[in-house]
Amino acid sequence: MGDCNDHSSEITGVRIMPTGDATTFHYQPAEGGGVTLQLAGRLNATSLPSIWNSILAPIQKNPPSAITVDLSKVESFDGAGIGLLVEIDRQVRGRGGTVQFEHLNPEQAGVLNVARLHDPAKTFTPPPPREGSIAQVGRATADILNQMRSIVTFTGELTVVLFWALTHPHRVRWRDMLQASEKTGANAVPVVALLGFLVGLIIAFQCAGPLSNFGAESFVPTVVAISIVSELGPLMAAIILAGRSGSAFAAEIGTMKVTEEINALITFGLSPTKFLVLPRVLASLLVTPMLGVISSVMGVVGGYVVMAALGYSLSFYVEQIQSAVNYVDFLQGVLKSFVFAILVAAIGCLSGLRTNEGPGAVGDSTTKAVVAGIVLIVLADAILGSVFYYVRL
Amino acid sequence: MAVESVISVKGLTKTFQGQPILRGVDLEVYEGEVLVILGGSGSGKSTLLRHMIGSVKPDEGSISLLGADICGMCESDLDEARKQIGVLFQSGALFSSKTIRENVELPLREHTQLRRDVIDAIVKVKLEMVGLREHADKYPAEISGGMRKRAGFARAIAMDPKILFCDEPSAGLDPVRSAELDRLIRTVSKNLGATCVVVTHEMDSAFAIADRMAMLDQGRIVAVENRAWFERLQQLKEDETVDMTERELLVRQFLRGDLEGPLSKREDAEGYERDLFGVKPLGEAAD
Repeated sequence: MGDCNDHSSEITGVRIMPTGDATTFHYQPAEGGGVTLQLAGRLNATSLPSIWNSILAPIQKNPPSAITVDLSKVESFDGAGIGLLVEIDRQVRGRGGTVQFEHLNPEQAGVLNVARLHDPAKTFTPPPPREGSIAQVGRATADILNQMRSIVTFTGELTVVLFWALTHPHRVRWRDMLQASEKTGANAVPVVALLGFLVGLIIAFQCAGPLSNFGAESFVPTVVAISIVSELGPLMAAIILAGRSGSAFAAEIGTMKVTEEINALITFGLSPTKFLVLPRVLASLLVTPMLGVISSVMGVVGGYVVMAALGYSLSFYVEQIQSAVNYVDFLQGVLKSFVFAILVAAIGCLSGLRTNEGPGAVGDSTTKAVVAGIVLIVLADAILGSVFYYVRL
Repeated sequence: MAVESVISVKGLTKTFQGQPILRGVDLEVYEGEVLVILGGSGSGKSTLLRHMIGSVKPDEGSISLLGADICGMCESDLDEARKQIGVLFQSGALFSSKTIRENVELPLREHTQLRRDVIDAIVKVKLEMVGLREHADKYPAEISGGMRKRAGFARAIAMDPKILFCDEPSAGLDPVRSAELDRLIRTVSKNLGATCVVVTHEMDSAFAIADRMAMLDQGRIVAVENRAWFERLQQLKEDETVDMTERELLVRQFLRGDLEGPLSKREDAEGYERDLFGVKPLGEAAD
């Protein structure tokens, strides 16, 4: 098809590949007003990107009423080649022109057949309207409300089950509860003790400097005692609980959800709340106050290390501590621990029960359990802290 | 076949996230029979099963199980109703923290006041039935997939349920194991008198166990007939299908696994064109 009179309307392009294969295109006017596009060489993902725009530019600039794409010299084809044909088709037919693909080598016809580009019945349809912003807002709101509903439902169920446990203590699964207590509590003692100790040490260090400026080093034990016993001891223990056990609860229950074990429980007429959540919440309620106390005691010990380094005696330190905090502060810490315990265990189990399907779902619930657990702990601490402050006044 | 209906599903519809899954399903299951629910992926058959065991509530319609309407029930009544059914889940769904024995005895220990040694005996009988008595003290992770499924079966029949539901019993099993499970389902139905509802898309298994079959397609029941009706459809030659209805052609294609037929025409439907050609506005540079 080299002989054409009107040379001015011919557009030709060549792309020489490093391997020596050339991908070329050649436009020329055809009889009856349309154009012919001859493609040659390899139409694939390696050769096409650099030549793509120059192939399409002529038909974009000057849309033909009819185009015949001659594929007789095409050596090979891949998905990118099909992409090119689709794009040509879209550009031309989208503007009311007609498209024809011709002389396809039978070896490569298979590729085109898979993409079903030959179908004569195809019609050009405009893209579907996007979901409006109002619909999106509505959907998001419905999701949030659903989520809140499930939290409320779960809270209610948990409350009912806790009362049920009080009235039917012989039906609680104490073995599961003890197992959970060991994992949640006993195994956490070393890390809780270490962290408590370090926090006490750090606080003593931090306030020893400023206080010594006023000659008030002897108040270090007071600061340590007040902040640790009623505040940081239980808080640190609860944060470790959220990281260790809240996540474990979510992962355990989440995995059971994914493997249909939860469904199996339900069809046995056994409530997952009674069967799985209750033992874990009870275990958490049992061990968290203990962990809180361990954390506080170790914090006070940590504070003494600093005081000893500053030359104060143990008896002075103990005396100061005793006068700084009383059993009310101590009970405050324990009470907080109970609240933290319920929050962490409940949110862990709830995230587990709400696990979706799919490979990443358990990971997502675990993350949610830890993040929501820690946020709730700190929030509860802030609320309880201010309540205690006003109650004491 | 007894005439008494043990499960009665009426006008069941369910929509998940704007996607209609069930669009008005009516189904009766009669006492003592094995009813196989057939259907392609996404036809709604598993969803229908979940409704029947009360783990999903319908949008509309009603389900009565052994004469009691389970849609309007509160959870505690539902739990009572569930004591009369057994469910074999697709994956077995054994409790992974418990041994096979503990798995099977769990419903007995939770729901009955039977003495320990009686429970032990029952568990041994059920495990012997599925050939797992020697493996009673293993954990689910220590046995093969086929054994897990049989253990799940033993657990499902532990309470001698009046109705046994099986979700894809042969999925993921080799032909021999699959046939074994089919035989177990048959045994439970014929010897223990349980009504069985089996969801599957394995034709061999379906024909081996069914008294009646129901075919679901796009959330609707297209046929509920006895096994012979389905067998006849499956064996009809191509030239005998001329004056068949669309419904029969559809069932026939499914039963035979043919590539051509009403089920595949639907998949060629529009959408591809729009996806391929219509996604970007035209003026946009193609880069």
